[in-house]
Amino acid sequence: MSWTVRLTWWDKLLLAVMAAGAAIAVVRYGGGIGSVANINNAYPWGWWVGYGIMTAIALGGVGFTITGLVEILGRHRYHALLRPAVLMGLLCYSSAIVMLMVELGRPWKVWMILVSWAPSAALYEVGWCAFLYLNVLVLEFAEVPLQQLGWARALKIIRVVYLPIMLLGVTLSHLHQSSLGTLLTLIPHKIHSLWWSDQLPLLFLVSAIMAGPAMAILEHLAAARWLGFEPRLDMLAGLARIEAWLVGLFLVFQIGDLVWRGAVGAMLGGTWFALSFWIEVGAGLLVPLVLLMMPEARQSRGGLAAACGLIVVGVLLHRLNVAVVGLRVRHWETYVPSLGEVGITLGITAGAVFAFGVLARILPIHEEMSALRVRQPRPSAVPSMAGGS
Amino acid sequence: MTNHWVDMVNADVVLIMGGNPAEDHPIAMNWLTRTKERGAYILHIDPRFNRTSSIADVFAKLRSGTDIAFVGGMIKYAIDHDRIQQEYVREYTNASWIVGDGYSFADGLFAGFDPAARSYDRARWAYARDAQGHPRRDPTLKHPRCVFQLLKAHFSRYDADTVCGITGTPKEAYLRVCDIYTSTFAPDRAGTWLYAMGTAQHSHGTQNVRSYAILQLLLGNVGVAGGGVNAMRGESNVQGSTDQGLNNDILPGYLRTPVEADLSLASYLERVTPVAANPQSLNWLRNMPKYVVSLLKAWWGEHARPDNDFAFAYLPKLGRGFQGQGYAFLALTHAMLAGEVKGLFCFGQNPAVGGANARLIRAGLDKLDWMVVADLFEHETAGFWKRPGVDPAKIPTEVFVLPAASAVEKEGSIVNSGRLAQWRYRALKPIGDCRPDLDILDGLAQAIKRAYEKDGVFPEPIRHLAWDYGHEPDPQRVARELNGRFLVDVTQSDGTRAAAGKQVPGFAQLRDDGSTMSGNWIYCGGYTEEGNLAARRDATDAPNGIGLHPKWAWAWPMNRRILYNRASVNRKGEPFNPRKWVIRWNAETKAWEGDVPDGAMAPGETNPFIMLASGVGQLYAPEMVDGPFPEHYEPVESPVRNAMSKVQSSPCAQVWQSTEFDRYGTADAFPIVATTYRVSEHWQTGAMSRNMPWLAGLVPSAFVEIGTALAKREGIKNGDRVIVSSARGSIEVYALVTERFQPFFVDGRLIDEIGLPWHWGYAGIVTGDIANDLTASVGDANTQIPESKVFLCRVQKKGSA
Amino acid sequence: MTVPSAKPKAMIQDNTRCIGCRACMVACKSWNDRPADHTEFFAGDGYQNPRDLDANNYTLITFNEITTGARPNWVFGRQLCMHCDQPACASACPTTALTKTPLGPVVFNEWRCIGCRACMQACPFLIPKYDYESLAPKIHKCTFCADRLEAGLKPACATVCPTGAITFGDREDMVTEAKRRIAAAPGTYIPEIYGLDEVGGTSVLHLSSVPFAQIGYITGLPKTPMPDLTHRWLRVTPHVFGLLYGLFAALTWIVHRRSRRQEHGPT
Repeated sequence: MSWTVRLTWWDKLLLAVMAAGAAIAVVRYGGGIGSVANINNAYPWGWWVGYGIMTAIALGGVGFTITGLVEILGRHRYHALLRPAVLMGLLCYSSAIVMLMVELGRPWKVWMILVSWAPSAALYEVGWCAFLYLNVLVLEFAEVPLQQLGWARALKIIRVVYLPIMLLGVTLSHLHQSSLGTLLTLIPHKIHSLWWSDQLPLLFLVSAIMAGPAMAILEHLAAARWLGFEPRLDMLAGLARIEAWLVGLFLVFQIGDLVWRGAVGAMLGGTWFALSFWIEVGAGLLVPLVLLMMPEARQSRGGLAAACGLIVVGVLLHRLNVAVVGLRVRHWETYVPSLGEVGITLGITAGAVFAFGVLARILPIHEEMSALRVRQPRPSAVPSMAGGS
Repeated sequence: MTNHWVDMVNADVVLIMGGNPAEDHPIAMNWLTRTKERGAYILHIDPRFNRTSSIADVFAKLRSGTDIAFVGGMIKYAIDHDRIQQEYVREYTNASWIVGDGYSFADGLFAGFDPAARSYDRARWAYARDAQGHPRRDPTLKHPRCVFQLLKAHFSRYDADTVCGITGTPKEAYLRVCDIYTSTFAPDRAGTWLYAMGTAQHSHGTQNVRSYAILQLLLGNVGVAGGGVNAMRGESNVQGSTDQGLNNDILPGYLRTPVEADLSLASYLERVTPVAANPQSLNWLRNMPKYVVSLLKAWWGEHARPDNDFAFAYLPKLGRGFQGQGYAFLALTHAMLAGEVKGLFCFGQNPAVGGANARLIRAGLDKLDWMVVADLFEHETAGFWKRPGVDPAKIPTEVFVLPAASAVEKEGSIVNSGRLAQWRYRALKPIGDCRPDLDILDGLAQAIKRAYEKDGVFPEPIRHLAWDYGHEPDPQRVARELNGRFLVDVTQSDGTRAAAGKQVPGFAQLRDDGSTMSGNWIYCGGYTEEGNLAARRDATDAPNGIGLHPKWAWAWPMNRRILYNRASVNRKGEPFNPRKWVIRWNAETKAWEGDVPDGAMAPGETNPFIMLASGVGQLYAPEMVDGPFPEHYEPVESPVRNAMSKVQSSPCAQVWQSTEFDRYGTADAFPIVATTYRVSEHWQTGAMSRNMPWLAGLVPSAFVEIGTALAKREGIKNGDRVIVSSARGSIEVYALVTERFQPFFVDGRLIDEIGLPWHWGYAGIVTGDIANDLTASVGDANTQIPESKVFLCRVQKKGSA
Repeated sequence: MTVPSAKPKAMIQDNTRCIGCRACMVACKSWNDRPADHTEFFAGDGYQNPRDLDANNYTLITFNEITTGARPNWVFGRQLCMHCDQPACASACPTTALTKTPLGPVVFNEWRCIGCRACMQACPFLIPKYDYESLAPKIHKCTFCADRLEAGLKPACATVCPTGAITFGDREDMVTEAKRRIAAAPGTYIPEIYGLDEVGGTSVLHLSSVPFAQIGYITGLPKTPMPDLTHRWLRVTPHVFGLLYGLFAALTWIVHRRSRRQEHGPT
């Protein structure tokens, strides 16, 4: 593979969105958060935290879920999804960090977290964990470019530490994915009963695990389209069956928790909160579950894309509902994300997608790309990222 | 106040009549909080429920201008239920005095009314006299012409139904107030009566106060701890200003300004010095000549001698004033408008906003040749020539603005409502070229004196003025002069010698022979050889533990904290209420204990109200210009007929009608009653507070408080812009719609009332329309204080037809 | 002058004595050097301004018109940081910028603040406010005049209150006094001390003549400290870490031993 990439119209579009986001970011830094964002004292966390951090990290869980599936549970059938998943995880977490630099009031002080000792703060745990996990992702992914560059000595070190690092990554992910939920457990009276739970940490963990396969499937379908290889629908179908179980698990967990907490009435009330809840559960869980239970859907590109797309949106809605929509505020207090907020997040997301697209064209991320040139390798006895050329 | 602020804690019942101490005297609320803790009742009577009502036990609403009906009903209630402190009333008031045959009252008028002159011949109200010329008395109070019976008959017309039909007070609340308040007739219970501008600023304002005095006297509440007739003064040092004689009709110490007809000192003194009604009356003011002469000696020093009538000729004399209406504020503003006033010194006042009929006042300012303003900010009066709607090029007035130092940037005393003079020191140096008023006046006086050295018409009063307060004028020297000193060696009344130059220890030592000088006899005793007593800060209470704190600063007169305290004991000197005694006679030491007694005489030797010629409390007051008894009249602008009599409004009120600004409205065009008041966050015309960003941020814009029913009828929502108009003008303000202002059921229908805080004008960091543009030039009969507290208006949403 | 004790302090806010004069608001702005508000009208029942606490107003008097039948009433409430004994804000802050001090105040060290607003989410009383227009924004809240307390003075608000609606002293004395007042005048107070037990106890004890929910207070709060809710998850972090790491390592070994056996077959 060569190091040069020809930019398509999609690349150019992404670059334009990135530029717009950067321009808005300049205003944000020059004029203060209030000059671009609608977040206020009633809603201190809004679209940026809900989407740009909480959802980005949740979706970044594709890294640890696919890693866990392939490397820990040994389901090498899905080996081809491993590198893309790790790269996606790396880019999702990087997006979250960039978002943090915009969202924090004093981003130049973010290092303060690393020199403080605040074990009672969920955000402290998230910060440290995510920081460490980002390093893990870098190390996990490093093999790919190092291999491409042919730096044998570095490659050897990476391969040696791979196993403990991989285990660390999966463990850390469990911790901070659940801590995102812990962040919101200490405000039971501030979050609507439809979403607050003392099991929020576990709910967030399961939702992140649920997001993994969905992201992986979506990526495979999109990459097949753009890079021009045939999507391996049978592999995807198998993963989709697993995903169906995960969606079912989360659905039972979420609804069961609601019933346990006596919030059934809230589910059936004629409020905006209930509406938001049913959109989240209906579109994000029920419809995808039905789709994924149908073999025809599991084996079709359209069915898979629809189901997994909805699951991802559902994760976003869930996080937004818990952290923003479900917030109980005074009757005159409102929040709607501003164009500036949305613009910056779109720019960051566009950046991640752009980076993925470029890296996918200059590095052997997809086995299918090299399989177009060499035959399929046997699965290795020792777990590693090695695959393809 | 006859009593003082701390004394509130001794009250069993506090009645706040149309006042709002929570907003206008918030520091004093501390005492009301404490008295409430001790179980006292707080009764609040007011047109609307305000921040004071929020801590009251009973709130009874009353339509502005109907105080006399309200209190008249309470007087009747007290008499009917025999809630009279019998011994007190019999011994210490003129209840037993017999009124002569000349007095009568019918159809709303007292005997002797001259409609053309709008005044009474008060000789008709004289007492019946005995052979010695003393008023005759009936101690049984049964004689049909005795004051008590005449009082009873007069107020027999004020039954609860009639009263509530006038005031609009719900009858149940009214009777509750009557019941709770009149319970203080018992010797061991005291009620304190608080009032402020809501009482005074009416065409019958002095009669309002008279009604309170009558009720308090009947209940035995004057001169006792927790009692009194207590005015909450409108500014922090207005008590001091009236003490120093800043009103046109008084000299320092409430001596009377001489009039044109006083051709000599002797004739003046003869006219003003009261004569005791009977031998039991001490009639302290018979000493007035001593105070007048001492004052003249203070002002003209060695140029005031026995052979020139002590420079009496140098004193300005009052004529008949502008159009025969005197020299008070309303007359002054009309004289300005007529172009008769060349120049105005305006020190710490902002009449363009604060005076009644403010448009008239501003038009009058346009006619001045020059004006000197001394203030902290360039307020509406200082900047009248550039107010909205005028062309400065057309206004010829030369305006000098002298920046003045604020209260914390200068030394001096402030006298609070309780007559307590507290000395304070300078905390900060004034900024820039701001100077204390004393420095400004000293500079002016010196310059004027220098000018009169060269020439001038009748220059002697200025040239001979004794004026020396130091190169940098020292307020302590002024204070020392107010107290006064001996000018020659004298032997005092107790036999001791006092050397020339020594401070006089008390006004009992002042003389009329020119051997003493005193700038203000009521302050004599405040700065003695002991030092500046107003600067003392010893908080120890007196042995009677009623909050006198006699060594904290100094109160006039002679540090007496509760006036008329001889009325708190019986003729033997035993307190009526031993638990809260004010003074008591110690038979062994043959001396009084407790507060400074009203005269050191032994008990029983004299009647307690020593400052009155009668010596007793006046239920019947023939000295009043508009009647010896209060009678309810409607305000000059009223929406209803007077239910008590055919006389619609006070027949002696001063009603200006001479200019285009003096217009009056009736209920068909202006059906709503309006009143004016203040809020805690702003001060007076807002000249200071609307320049304070934090305060301006709390209460930024002019607004009117409107009841929800009225608002609904006019389609006005909270926060809408509305136009409020009276016959004299209209203003645009925000509407604050509230449940706290409810209409009054009067004369068989609902009458609406609205209220306007009057703090706004066109200068300052936040501005607004001027509420006083709507008030009228109507003056009280006795004092000519403007009737700012009630007038007629209408309210419309802005933009509606 | 008596030497002030070193025991934890508290404040009584007695709304039956409050006349809504707002000397406390002005004194607070003065002591904390806050700029004035630019308002146009009012933002509540009556004269309230501003509508809510914000970066420039660390305390607020709320005006509440409560009419029962024909009888109007005007009750004043006060909002300010409650200086909780176990503050949720301090527990949520990832850089320990907020700490509870022994004398009572929950103090804010702006040098440590990264502007993440976790404390704003965490506070059950909705107290910390942010200056979104600033280029280096941070949170703002009542400091309990911690610097004044160190010098033996009372907080600025307690010093200027004219009616004694704000009383300040050792917490144990303030609790006793609050209970005494309710017992002495039961018709005046509702029998509740807001802040005594809420979220595990705070340093500001409110008394009222009407139910607190009617005058803008946040009610229905648990009596247990809020940090307990996160604490029970976070404290097992090291244990869970070890457990999971071991579990995943074991799983990996088991799974790949089986696959190796499959590859090589039985020997």
